[in-house]
Amino acid sequence: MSDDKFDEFLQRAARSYHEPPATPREDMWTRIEAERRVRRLVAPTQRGRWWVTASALAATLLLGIALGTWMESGKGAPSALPAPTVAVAPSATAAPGASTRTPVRPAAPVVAAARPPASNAAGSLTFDAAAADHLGRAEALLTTFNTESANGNIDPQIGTWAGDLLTTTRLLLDSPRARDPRTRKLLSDLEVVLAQIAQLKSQPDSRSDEFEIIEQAVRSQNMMTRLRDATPPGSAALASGS
Amino acid sequence: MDETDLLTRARAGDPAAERALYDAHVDRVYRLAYRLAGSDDLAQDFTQETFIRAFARLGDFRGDSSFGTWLHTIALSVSMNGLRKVKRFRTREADLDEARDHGWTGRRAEPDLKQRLAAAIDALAPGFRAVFVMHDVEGYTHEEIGTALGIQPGTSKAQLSRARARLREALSDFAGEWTA
Repeated sequence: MSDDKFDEFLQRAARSYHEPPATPREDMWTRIEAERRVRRLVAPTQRGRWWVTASALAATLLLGIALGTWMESGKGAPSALPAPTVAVAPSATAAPGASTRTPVRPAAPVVAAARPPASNAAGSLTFDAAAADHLGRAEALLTTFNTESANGNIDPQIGTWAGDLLTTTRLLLDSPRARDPRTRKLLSDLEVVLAQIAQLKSQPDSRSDEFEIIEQAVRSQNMMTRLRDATPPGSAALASGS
Repeated sequence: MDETDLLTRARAGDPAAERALYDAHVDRVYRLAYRLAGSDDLAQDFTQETFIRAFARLGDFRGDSSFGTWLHTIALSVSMNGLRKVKRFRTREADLDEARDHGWTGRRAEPDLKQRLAAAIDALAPGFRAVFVMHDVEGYTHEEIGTALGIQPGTSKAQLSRARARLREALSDFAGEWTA
């Protein structure tokens, strides 16, 4: 038997090896554009301060949800609402240079979250805005995690960011307004992933395995697509505080 | 409009030029990613990451090689690194499956030639597999493979020859298929 005959046979037979389907051009392009938009928002030049901003905004959002829940339960007096300042924000207190009482400039949906709801409908809108804003932040965090884990260099502060989002996720899940089953499922799945990121160990050896487990969880649950579907355009901008 | 103009415009942030570059190259990148990954999800992930990185680093592209070759260098790096991660994860899953199947005494079906070939290609070392898939399956030249993998064309030829030898050995049961 000659080598040439085998080579011809091999080339013919190997054409069926992992034979690709038609290229999903438009689907991929849509995701490339979305991903680039998010990555631009969390660009490396902003990394020195992104987590401080993100933490402060997350704390403000947390305050808004807490107030909404408080008033939902009938215990709150709208006129007694404080100005949107963060009294005790776990993340803000950990930030280098951040004081325990950090004034923040809230973005539009966050202001809406802190305003007293005039009715049940307004309360639902408040919850929806808070949830969309929160999911936008989660999308930004997971994108950052994905990018940095691919480079094998994750900013240790991402755990703090994930911890803040984890608290907000639990508050949203506990809110009586969280009735939509799809949103609840997304928040539940997100809670598990955020808990994993928040608990990332500091030892480099154990981290690469943990990265893989988290990435696999994000991929298998189609988390990024679900977050994008649940996030109105523009929410990602809030996620980075821009 | 030629590719040089498109690249100039893309560097300046023109979305239409970026899309034109994507349209010109996405099929080949996706096909290669799919051949290497054997999964649509992974191939899409690798293709997307390739273009995201390429557009982000367009300023670094000096034109020493063609844009397509430079893009394939990124695609190969993304795919091979991604597959290494997936392999590590799958090994863990396989260990679990093995533990679950412990004690199973059923007779596994003999794979046919197509399956055996696929398994043999999968079992090649990553570098050999990339060369084999690029040359014998996707039709790249040794020069293109050499540039994309950062090796000499002669090394690419040598690796292809060794890959074929290993496949021939793995498929020796089916010798009649090509000697007939």
